[in-house]
Amino acid sequence: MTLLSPAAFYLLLASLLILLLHFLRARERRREVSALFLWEGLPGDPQSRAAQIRQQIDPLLLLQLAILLALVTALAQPAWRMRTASLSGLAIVLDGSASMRTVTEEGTTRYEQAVEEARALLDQYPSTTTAIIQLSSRPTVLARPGQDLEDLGNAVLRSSPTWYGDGTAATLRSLLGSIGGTSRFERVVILSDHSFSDMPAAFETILIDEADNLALTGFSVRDNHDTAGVTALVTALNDSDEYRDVTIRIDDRENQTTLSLLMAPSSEERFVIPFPNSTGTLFTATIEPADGFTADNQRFFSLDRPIDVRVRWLGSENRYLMAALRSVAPVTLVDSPEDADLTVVHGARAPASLTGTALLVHAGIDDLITQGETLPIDRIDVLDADHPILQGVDPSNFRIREAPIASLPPSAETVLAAGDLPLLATYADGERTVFYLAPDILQTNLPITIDFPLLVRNVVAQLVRLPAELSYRSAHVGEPIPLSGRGSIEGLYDADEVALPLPEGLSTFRPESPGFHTLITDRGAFAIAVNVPPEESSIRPPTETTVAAEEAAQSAVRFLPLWPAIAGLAILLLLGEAYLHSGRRSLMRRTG
Amino acid sequence: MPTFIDEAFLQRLSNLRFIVKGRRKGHLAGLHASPRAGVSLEFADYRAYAHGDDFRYIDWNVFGRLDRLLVKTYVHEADLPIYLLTDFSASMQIGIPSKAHYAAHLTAAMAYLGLRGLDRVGLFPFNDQLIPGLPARQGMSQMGKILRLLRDVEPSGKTSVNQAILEFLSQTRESGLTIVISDFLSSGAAFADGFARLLYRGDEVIILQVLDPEDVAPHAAGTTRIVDIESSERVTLTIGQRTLDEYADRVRRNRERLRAFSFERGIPYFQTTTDVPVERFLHEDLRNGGLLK
Repeated sequence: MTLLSPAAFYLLLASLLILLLHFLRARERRREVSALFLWEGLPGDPQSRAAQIRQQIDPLLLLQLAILLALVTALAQPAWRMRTASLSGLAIVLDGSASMRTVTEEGTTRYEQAVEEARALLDQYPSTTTAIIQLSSRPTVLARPGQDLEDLGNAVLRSSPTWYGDGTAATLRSLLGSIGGTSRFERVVILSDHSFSDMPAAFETILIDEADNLALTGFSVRDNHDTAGVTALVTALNDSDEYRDVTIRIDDRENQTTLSLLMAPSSEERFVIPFPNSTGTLFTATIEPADGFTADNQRFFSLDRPIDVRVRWLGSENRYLMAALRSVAPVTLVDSPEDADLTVVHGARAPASLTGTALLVHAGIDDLITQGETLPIDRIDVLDADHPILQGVDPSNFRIREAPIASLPPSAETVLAAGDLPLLATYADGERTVFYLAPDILQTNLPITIDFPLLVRNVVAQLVRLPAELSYRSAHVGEPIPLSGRGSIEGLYDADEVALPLPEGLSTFRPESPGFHTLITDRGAFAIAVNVPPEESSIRPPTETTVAAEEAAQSAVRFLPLWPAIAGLAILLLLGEAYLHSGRRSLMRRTG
Repeated sequence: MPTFIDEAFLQRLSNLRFIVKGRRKGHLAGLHASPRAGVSLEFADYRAYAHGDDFRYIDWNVFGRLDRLLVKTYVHEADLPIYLLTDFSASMQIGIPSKAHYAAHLTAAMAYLGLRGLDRVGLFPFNDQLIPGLPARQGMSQMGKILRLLRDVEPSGKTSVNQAILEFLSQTRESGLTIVISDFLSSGAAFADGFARLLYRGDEVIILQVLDPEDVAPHAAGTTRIVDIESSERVTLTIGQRTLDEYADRVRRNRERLRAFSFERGIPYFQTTTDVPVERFLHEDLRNGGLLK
């Protein structure tokens, strides 16, 4: 049984008035008689307090209270849910995105409320072929179309919300297509905490709990290049109708900083928070006070741990060149060509079998690049000023006394030259990529310019080619994260330090929960900051079509109203009370 | 007083008439036997013929058998003055219907029976004194007057049966059938002197005691302020079963005292309560009691 207007029970307070009136009226009883002499001198009966109370609580009072209870119950509109409806097909779509984990004021999560709604729908259509779908950015079919209520109910009960972002109409349609297509289902009912602007109008959305939300929707940290510490950039959301005092706390596991502020209603603001005493690399931002959806009260960020450059060194040592390399990235010297990211050849000739990437400084490769007689030069020609290798470099600062005559492959690209003498060139074929710097750097001013490390950085950046998506600074649950480029994978752990399975040939993985994940490779441990998708926190008012669909869905639920029967009972009680009251008045009039 | 006599009610009373003990000395022709022999259909006796007697009353059959002239005499049917003394004191307004209503109903029925029997009927309502009433008259026009009076009179004041009877005696010279209708809820012999005077005058007296069921067995419980409706005197009692039992005993003793008083003086005494229909009281109690036939 369901009460459509439970607030009506507040009217039961009127019983206090009835009791008050009754006891006030019952305080004095008066009786007129024909002859007093028949009463005079009678001893009277002793009466206990309990008997007095029993005397005052008469059937009339009980009837009046029963009438009030019946009337109030009728006003509360009790009703039975009808179980007789049937459809040709029903698809119940449970929103399984992260925001459905929000704990509501009733103490249950939105997902649990959606489950209750789903079970009510199953009860409403017991003989309908029904499918259960969990919708998120990675939707799944919880139960294929069937009529076994127990199986369907168990599928709903066993399910739990994910940490993924929202699903879309396309993904839902695709999933429905895999189980017979949308035409198979007369009703598609989506149980979600938000509306879907791109859903077909025929799909009904029942909104579950639209509670207020306080969230962090963005968080990043950058190094301060000119001062110590870092600077945090935070985006905070106040999805409520009131001003909120909030505190944003940034923690790097060693130090922390806070920012207290007042946020306007329905606002999303960005803050730049200096964190000068930070020394860590793993940052957690927290907004307080926490609310029902705790996952977006925290966001994580990881400052990338630089990946070492494995260098195979051929030729003579040169500390200026090595210093320039180390200023770009940690350098690990290796012997095996297979382990090397970069082969540096200084003042020597590399064998023709050289493959991979190579930086030739005053060096050559057998049968490919040969150096001859050294000639004095008096100028430097910039042949390709926009070449990436010159990014940030001003060649006019270079002073080069002499350079060797060099024989380069025809496909080599010369960037800097002195007449016919190539000074800086690049060459690539199917087996190798070569950067050629002709002069002996000891015969130049390169070691004492700031342009040299920049030049080496550009070379290394070209050689190592760190893919942009390889950043582990901040990723979202469900997003594919590439695992290649960090060395040989030895383990992957989630935020709870639970080892995740690593199938053979795994090149990416999709985190299923927020927090700091850890990738262990032979080149070290890399923290991967994973956050709840920010759209799970954003303000999305229900669309008109959603509201209409919700009303339609609600109206489709059939109730058998019980209030007429209870109101009838109240009327019968009222008549009984009136009869008893009139009888008593007759008695009172008869007896005075 | 509401309308309480309708045609159907009167129709149902049409087979009733008063039974009067002894011969009455009415001076108008009526349906009651008079001590004077006269002409009527009802045979009374024989007597010797005397000069001047009507030949038509000589019993020739007796002359043929006995050779004596005897004259048949017949009962002289005289009318009967019926006086209705009805209590309209404040105590009669107790109950639903009130005792006054019931008594008025009863009074109207008695009046109808009397007038229908060609008797003269007078109505004398009273409380602690006689309320202006209607002297005994014959004819159904009197019925209308009686009904109007019963309708108009309102119960009020204290009760004094003695005083009412004294005033009644002073207003009526002819004895008759005097029916006193009251609740007779008074202590002591508050009416003994009055009844003694009525009997002394030669009236045939009948007592009809009308009580409310609550007078007999009140429904009351708890601490209650008991107020006398006539005197406004009061007592406060905690009423329980013991009190009610004691009260019932007092009522019973009061009723027995009135019954003994009536019996000692040869006064027919009838008692009823307002929950008994008037018709049933008339057809059963009064008929079985020999007042009506």
